Amino acid sequence: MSRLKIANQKREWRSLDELAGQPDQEIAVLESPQGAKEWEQTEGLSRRGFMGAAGTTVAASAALLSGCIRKEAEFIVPLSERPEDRIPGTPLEYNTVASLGGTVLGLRVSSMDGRPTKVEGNPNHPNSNGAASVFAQASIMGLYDPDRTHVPHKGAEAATWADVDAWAKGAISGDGDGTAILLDDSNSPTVARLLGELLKKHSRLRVFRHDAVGGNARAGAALVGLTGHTQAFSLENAKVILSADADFLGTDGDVVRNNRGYARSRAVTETKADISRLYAVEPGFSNTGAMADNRLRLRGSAIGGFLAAVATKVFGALGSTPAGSKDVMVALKADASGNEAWVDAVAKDLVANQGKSAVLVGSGQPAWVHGLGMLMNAALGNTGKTVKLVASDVLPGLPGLDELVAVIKARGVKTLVMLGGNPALTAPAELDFKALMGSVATTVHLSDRLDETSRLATMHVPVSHYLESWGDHVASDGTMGIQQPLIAPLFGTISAPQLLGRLLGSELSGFQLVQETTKGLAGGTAFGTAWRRWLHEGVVYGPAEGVVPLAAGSVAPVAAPAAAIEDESAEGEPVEGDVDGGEAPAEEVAPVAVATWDFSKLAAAARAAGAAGSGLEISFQLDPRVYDGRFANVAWLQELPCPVSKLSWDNAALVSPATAGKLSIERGDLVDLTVDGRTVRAATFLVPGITDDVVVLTLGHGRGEVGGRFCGGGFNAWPAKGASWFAAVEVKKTGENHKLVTTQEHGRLDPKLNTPVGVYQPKRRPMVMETTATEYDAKPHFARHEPLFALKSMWEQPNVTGGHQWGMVIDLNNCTGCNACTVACNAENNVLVVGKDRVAKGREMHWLRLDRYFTGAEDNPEVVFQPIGCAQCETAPCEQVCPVGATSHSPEGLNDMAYNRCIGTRYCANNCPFKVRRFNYFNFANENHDANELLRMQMNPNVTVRFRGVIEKCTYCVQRISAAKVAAKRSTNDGIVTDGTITPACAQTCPAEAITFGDINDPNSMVSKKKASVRNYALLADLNIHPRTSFLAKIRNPNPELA
Amino acid sequence: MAVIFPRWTNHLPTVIAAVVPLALVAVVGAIWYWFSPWFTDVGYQPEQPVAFSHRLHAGEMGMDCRYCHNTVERAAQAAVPPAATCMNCHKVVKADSDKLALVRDSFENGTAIEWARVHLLPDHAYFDHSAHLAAGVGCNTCHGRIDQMEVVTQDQPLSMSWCLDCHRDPGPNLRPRDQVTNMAWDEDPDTADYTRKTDEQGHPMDVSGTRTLQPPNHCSGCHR
Repeated sequence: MSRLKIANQKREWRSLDELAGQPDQEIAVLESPQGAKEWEQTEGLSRRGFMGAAGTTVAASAALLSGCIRKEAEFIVPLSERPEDRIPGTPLEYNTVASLGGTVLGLRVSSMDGRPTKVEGNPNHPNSNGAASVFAQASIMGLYDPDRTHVPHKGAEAATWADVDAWAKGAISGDGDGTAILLDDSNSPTVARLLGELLKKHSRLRVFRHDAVGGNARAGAALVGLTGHTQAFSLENAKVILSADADFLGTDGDVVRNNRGYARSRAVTETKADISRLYAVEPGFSNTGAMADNRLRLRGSAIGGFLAAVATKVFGALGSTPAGSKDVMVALKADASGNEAWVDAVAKDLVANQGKSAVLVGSGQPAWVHGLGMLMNAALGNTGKTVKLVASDVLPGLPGLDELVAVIKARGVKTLVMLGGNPALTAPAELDFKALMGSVATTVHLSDRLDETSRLATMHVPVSHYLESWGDHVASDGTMGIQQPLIAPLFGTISAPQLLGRLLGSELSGFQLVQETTKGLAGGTAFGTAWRRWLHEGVVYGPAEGVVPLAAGSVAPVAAPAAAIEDESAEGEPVEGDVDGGEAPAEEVAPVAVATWDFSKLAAAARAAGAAGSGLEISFQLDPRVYDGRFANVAWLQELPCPVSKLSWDNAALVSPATAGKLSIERGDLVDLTVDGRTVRAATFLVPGITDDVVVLTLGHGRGEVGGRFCGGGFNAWPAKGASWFAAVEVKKTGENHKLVTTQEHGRLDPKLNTPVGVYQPKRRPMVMETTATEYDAKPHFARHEPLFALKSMWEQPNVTGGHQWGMVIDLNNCTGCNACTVACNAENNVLVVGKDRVAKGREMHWLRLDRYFTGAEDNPEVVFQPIGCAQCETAPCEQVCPVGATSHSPEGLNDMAYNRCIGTRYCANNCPFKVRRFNYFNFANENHDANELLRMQMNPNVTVRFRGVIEKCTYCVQRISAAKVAAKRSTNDGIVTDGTITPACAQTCPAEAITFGDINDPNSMVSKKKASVRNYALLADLNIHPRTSFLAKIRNPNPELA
Repeated sequence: MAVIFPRWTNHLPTVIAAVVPLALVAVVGAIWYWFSPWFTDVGYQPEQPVAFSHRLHAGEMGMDCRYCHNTVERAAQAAVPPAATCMNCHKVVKADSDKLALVRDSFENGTAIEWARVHLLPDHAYFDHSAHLAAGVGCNTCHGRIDQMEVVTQDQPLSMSWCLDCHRDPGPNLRPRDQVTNMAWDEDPDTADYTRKTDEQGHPMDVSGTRTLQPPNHCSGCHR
């Protein structure tokens, strides 16, 4: 270890209060605040009453024991016939596919005795690569959502399935005139096929699509003549990435795929950091912005102009423009005002890295910006290298909600069938869709609850969850997979294909409907064999090679109806080639020749683009926890702290400190935000790094009881949002206040303590070691440094060699702060939700938290993330203070926790330097679960559900370690677990491959190799604790020209 | 001087000295005996819904345990067999027996039979059958002579200290893997000749002689 000063380490700070020198003392200092008094005040048993009752119980049990009362009788209830491969108590895994938050993910789901308990990524599916997003992890709770409807409803009244059948029989008559079907953002070949059949029967039926989030990207593709095409990025091939308001690492689009690609583009060798460079231009502060090497704060309305300026420079440098794009060049309103240096630097970098760059545009940007992004990618030669253009849409060119509204207004619609989505919530406010719904005689909405749309609809049909119904999905890269259910519908609900089937008068089940769609895809193989393989792999293979994208069989039949729809709507021209053109698998889709592009519409759109606004502007954004509101009733997500603001249970109007100063508002002030005469109320929260004069409000919160019992918190932004995702806003203080809860001060690793003998301020240690690529090349061993102070151990260093020795490495260079690990841990380890008030007291139970540090100046800081779970210290301070030996060391280096021994002194939590030990102040399990049989079904039976009064913490997923060890004892002679067999839940779900777990006693294991890296450092190593979890230092690659 | 205490009280110290220790010993002994799982748990013999006789099936007819408990070598649970397993034979054998009415009903209608659990571990203890079989622990070591039980009875206390006794010194309870279901192994005179393998330090090795057995003695070995 070389003696290196760590002087160049940037100062880290957690909150504005801390920067100002006033961190929240109580939260910062008290790892586990007192709570006995509060218990007295809660309903039910008082503390005194409990003591009395406890005394009686002891006496009674003594009496009963002498009477030989045994434990409560239990029964073993075997199935009368056990299915093949089914072993009681042993999970079975199935591959499936789901459409979750704007992306299609291949998933591998565990079923425990017949009930799905855990979602992971399917390694065979290129969109998930074995990882899963935060939404995928939480989606299992959608199945067990206590607020799902069980029966159809007519208005607020419960109806019967017979009513639905009766309606469906005569729903569409004759040529279907006056009937419209509104689709959501899903991309299912079976739905497309059934719609085609419906259109054959009823030629004047109209089909529309309302994709509240992805609509701009779809329209952007149409602007360049590529209707129905999606961009699938392979960022691992990229050297320069430009994000124009695209949170591609957080919420926007194929986040799992892009996280993996991005992380791989950042791979650092031991001596050189030849890594990609990420430019992020954004109004808010997203995960992508946090990862950016250079981040430019820019209001949403200025981003189009900025990208236009970059494009102009790029095309100028290239010396030529793609054929037919001259008009676009002329039409572009380049606006680099004040950011000329940025535009120059980005353009130069892009041009220098042709074929190795990528331009990503956010969902919130208007269609022409998306079109421009696609044009830039094509012109830079990125198509086919860092980005694929895939004709993935199985129903290309469907008219949107605005056209449905126009039709309703012009001609009237008698019957409107809405397959999923929630248009009454997510429709642009100026369309006034809610009011129009009333003018349609019959409105039928397929959804999982009586949501905003279902309440207004004449009939609500409850939909099946993806884990209980058959379906199929085509991903943005063209990969098709079959959605395979793991459980029969809990409430006898139906899926979208089934509802369409009923409209067709078909009696086929969901299974048969999907099989029918895939009939032509088996090629030479017998269909039964092919089908079983598709289900087993989770991906539909083609007859000849690899993965069959949408093309070969599935889409062709759909082409006709799709075209018919377009003719009807008279909007969007029939698209050539995009439907039949994909004969080759996605991997081999040739770059779309620029000649086939059609830029005339893009030019017109660019010409019509408005200039950047001035004055105060609001920016609506997808919420990193609830997306657009569809995941709002998952308590895990509500409690999850936002990546950057660290807000829990609420969203808020985020403003920069400067803006707040200008408006003289403070944290928690309720303000009225008026956009175009539409007002919503929200509490304000200060986040440094937000663009000045911009108010950021995320969508999907504040739906009240409409969304379900867990959605009360936050503020609903949808009513204010028009078609544009950014707009001028008026902010008016109401004088009222709202309590916002943030975890940004929780679990400080270097707290300033007010002790009876004075203030203790520990020496500032670096938490996240970070350097730039250039400095790394000069000094690769920068993360190694002498301890800040030498402590002499009072204990002998325990002997922790021999056998397996478990350890973990977290690569901070990869971690994008997406939160998937925390939710995966919730699901795997039965971590319970505590509620907003208790989070405010620092009582959240998360075993794995993501510490977020700001570094740098207050007005434009950088952000780093650091996942912190139990580090399994070899000389664990917690073990030394436990009076009852409830926590002790295993010979394999785990810091074990025996819940049944714990008496709740919380000494261990107090002594834990990482602040990762969580205490059950209440019987959270009973609160959340006993009252609700449904939520309990998710629980992992291989992990104890903790009771009130015990401490709990990360175990490195010891249940998985035990299972692997037993399996090795069973099947090998030496009983040694091979490297890679054990993956903790956090590491398994991590889309960025940031977490590596394994045996550090095996020099050839992945984890040993990573621990040998020059970037490896232990956190708080000065304390002589020898943590088993270590970190790899982070490398940024900023453009020196922008320094 | 007036006598305050009668004469007999002179014996009181002697009596106390004699009785109190006896009482203490009695209390400790009572708790030690009556509160012990050897008393509270061993011998538990709940009534089963079907009068299935292990003595007949496993004993007299000599059926292997694994015919019914077929997941015992691969999984944590030995698994009580489904009615379908019973009906493999009982479609033909005693097909009309009244005693089997419940089994036939379960097989035909898919209704479940509620067997009373005899060996009941606490929820926070995670036991794995397959690991123990792989090490060469016989069925009867924990379950007793099931082949001689008309109605299954708990034979051992299944307490934590009882588990740890063996985990600390597994040697005496090991046998060749092909003998794990041999109920009479312990009584078999031939087994006296069986030499258990040990490594250089004298630690018991598994029966194949390739790995030193290290049954977990730490918390997370059984508690998660």
